[in-house]
Amino acid sequence: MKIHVCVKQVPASNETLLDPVTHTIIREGTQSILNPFDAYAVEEAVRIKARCGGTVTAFTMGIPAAEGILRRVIAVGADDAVLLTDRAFAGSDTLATARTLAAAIRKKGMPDLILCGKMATDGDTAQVGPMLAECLSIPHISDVAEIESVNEEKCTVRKMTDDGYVRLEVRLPALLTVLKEINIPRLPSVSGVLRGEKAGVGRMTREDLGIDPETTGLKGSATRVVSTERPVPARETVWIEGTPEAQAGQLKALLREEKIC
Amino acid sequence: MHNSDLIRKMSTEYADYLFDESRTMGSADFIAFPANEAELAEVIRRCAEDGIPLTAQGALTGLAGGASPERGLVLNLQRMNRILGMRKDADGTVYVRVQPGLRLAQLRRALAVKDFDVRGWDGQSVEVLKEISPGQLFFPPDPTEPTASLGGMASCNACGARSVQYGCTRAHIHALRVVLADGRIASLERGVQRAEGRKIRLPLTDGSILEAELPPFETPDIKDAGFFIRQDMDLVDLFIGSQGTMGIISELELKLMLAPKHLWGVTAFFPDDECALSYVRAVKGRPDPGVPRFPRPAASIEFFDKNALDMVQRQKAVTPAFRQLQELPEDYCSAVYVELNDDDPAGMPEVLEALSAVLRATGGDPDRTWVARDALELEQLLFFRHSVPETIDLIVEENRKNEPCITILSTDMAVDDGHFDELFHIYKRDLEASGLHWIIFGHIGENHVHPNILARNRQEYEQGHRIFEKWAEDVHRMGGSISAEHGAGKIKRRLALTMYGPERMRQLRTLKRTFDPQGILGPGNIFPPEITEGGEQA
Amino acid sequence: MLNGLEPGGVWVYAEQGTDGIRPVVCELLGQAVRLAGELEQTVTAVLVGGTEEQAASLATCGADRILLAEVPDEALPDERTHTEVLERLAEKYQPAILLLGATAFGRSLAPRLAARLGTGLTADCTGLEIDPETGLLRQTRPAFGGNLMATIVCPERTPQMATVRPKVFPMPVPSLNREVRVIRERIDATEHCFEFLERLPSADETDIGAADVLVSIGQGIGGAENIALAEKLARRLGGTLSSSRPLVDSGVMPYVRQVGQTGKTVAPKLYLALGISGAIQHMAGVAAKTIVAVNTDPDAPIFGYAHYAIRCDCGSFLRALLEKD
Repeated sequence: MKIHVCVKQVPASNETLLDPVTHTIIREGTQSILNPFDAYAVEEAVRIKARCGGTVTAFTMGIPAAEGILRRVIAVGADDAVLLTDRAFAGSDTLATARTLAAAIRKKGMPDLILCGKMATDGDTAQVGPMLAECLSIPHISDVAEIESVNEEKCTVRKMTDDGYVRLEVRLPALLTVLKEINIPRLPSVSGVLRGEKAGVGRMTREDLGIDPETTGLKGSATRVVSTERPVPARETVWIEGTPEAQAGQLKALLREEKIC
Repeated sequence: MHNSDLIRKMSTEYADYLFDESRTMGSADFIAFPANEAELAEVIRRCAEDGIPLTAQGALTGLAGGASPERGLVLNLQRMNRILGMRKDADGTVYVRVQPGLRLAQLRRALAVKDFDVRGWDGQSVEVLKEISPGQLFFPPDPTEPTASLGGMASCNACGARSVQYGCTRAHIHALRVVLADGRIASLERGVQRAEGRKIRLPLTDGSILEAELPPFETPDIKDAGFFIRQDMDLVDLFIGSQGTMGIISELELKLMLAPKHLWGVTAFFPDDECALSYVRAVKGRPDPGVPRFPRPAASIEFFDKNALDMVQRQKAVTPAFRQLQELPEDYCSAVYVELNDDDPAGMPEVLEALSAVLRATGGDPDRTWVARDALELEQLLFFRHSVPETIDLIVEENRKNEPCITILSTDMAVDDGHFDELFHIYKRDLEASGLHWIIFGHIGENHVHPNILARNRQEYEQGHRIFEKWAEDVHRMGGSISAEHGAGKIKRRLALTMYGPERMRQLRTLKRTFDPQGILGPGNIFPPEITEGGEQA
Repeated sequence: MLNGLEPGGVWVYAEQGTDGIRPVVCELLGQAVRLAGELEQTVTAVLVGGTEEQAASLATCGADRILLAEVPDEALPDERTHTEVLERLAEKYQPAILLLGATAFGRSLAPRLAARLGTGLTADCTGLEIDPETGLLRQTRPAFGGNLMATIVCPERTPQMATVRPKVFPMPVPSLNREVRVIRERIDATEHCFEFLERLPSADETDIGAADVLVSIGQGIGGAENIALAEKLARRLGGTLSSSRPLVDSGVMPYVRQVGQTGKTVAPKLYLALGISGAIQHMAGVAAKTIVAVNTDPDAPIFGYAHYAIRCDCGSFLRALLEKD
């Protein structure tokens, strides 16, 4: 069983991003981590490998420092990892990212299964997974809560939908995006961390992938961010004071006034 | 005492303020929630006028009943939770001034993300704040429970896991403001107001001076959560560890340190306790013969025995909150958590190689370990650490349904390195012979693990207390402390008596009486009733 | 002229759930009417496998035309099938804008389709405007967990695609007696993502995204007794109980009840936050008309978002509120 996992490096917290005084984005000092949702995909890949044998390869696209999260993925059981890094990739939107990942995956040979986290905590779009499946012309199932069984031909999954859970069967190769309820990701062991530190991490540039510069990076992105603004609070906060009884009474009157309840 | 906005009559609405984390149930007639030092002093003045005893409370996370009231007034300081300002001394050390009700977690968050409410700060404070960056500075004491209040931590000199490297809360308090039993206020700074030999002349903010004499002995020289008595001592130290019996802290100035850039944690599993102890000695820099040296001092070393791991494992099935805990390796026995810090992450592989060698030599296995290298991973290991006291809490709560007198029975006795193995083996021998339900976990790095007895009925509860009293004698013989970090409070005042002896206890009471002639501060804390008999009843 | 439709126009994908067409489709049609008005174009709803009756209901919400794609019955909509259908229709009719609901299915279908069409897609928009100069769709969405609002355009590719969370926009006033123009298209899709096996019964099928009133609880709620009171209040207000992440992580509340960046985005009329501190990640999922916050900590960030702020412990407040009735 050949399994690929796509991961992303994200800031440890969105909270530190704005300076309380200047309201500008602070980037220095923020720790980078493996996207928490991706940890579930990695864990699931490693568990499938333990059950069915095979290999787990991790892919990420990012700055050279993103190599660190690939070492982390190796530390918990991935066999090898590929970092897609090139100035030409900078500014990719979700589709340009998916195209670039697809090129790398084709280059490394199509796997049986591709696993992705449900979404990344920084962009919050949940788009790259399904887009990647489309770029590779393979099926995808999103929001997978459980992989019930898997072999080289097909797998059976439990998926969360807007109307409850369903069981589906999907023919491989396929891409699955997983929910956090799927497993509890393990922490690496001391030997795992040392293995990760020593492992060679492959690097691929645009030339290595042999893709047209017009299809990746800012140039290959259909969307453009034209402006960013601080959200404006809609209205002032009204403080309701007094004893709990008085507060409850006032709130009711106000809500009635607004015709809410 | 009449009812007012500041001082309210006790009612069922305030039932949550009658006990702390230990479940020591108290009783009270009044409750007050002062919002600033002036209100705090006003409450104490009025208590003094009417001779009403009062018990100060921070966040009620104590484990010895120190904040559970014994009649009189509950003085809850949760509203005094502001960070008041900052300053920097000539060496570049940054100090932060806080109110006693501020929770440790609030301080940590403010420092980590540089999010301070600067309303009311002076110009100098704002200038100092401008120069610091998020996460640059930290306040080292780590008493496991992040919702503890700073005032509470000071009053019982909390220590916690990281004290191996950084020392206890006392070492990080530079200055205090304290309201005395008559409402007068002392403003004390380390290195400025000191005893002359055993003579104390404590200057107060109204210009008056309080004179007193220190008792003619010194308190243990190892980690101790109780009174601190030394010749020529800093007067700040009189109020740290004295659990609200000498005065009520109204403001603290904390000394901050440069935060280590990288913090890692490693939990390792061992086939038996002896292997774990050998590993602990090695990471503390005292390796057994044949065990390689470990080059790095650990910031904290924590121990979990098999009973503790089993207990959490069982609780996992009942408490969904624990579902996120890591799965334990097969055939686990005991585990040791080590925290390491470093400014350069490049050195990590080398340190882990060294740790691998130590693990193999002490019977561990580098494959049977959990490593945390970033904040999120560390949170998981700390969650695991925290799940042990959480589970104890749940079990005690359950056992109290059968027998309401049951409280948490946890000890935090400490001895020096030379005596720890002996004490550990006494613990195990006595507990195994007792037939009780027990676990051992905690701060092994500083030689104070927490044996806990989970009593299921009154008879077991009393038996537990008897075992603790026996240990207090053992520890006293080894020159140790009966409470390294939780304070004697109410549950362990009897053990305090064993440690100090009646004579020294009476001398301490004489000192307290100079500060608190009516005996209204912290009734029942540290001093057992037979010592306070004779005129202390209000 | 293609069946009476000019190229261009604003399209809305009419997603169906187990209860028929999802309400978010009507909300999107309301916006589509506004956008099409500015562009002087028409509004088209695309219904993949549906009835004439359903088509008529889409006209009531503002669709000028309904493209009704005839496909074999599906137990569950399949992303690949719908991608193929929408691709063929888009190629034939060349829409300028395509809007989809950011439901679980919409968020799975839209990226697949955007990749197929080679066009841009903006997720979870909270604002849609036409740039008066360029005629492009300006799509605004929260970024960095709601710390910033980013405005995004897709200048060179069509259709300009966006997903919008349910309840972000109001339901339009239905206009009855509108002409219903249905264009049937027969498309034999060949691609599938999956084979459907079965639906599983769920322990908790609550859809907090659909509630008009949410009583939402956080770590500061203070014990099981208070949670029971909060639930009682929710029932009394005709609302639903939801929660912030810590209570879900600790297993007190099920995941389906989680509001926020990693849970669901909600847009009730009233969001009553009890003991929720109001971390940005949580507030990124709240688009309520009125937010009421109850918390003992006057510095809790939630008070910065609240319309009505109540400094009180949740237990006392809930008891007072429930007693008054």
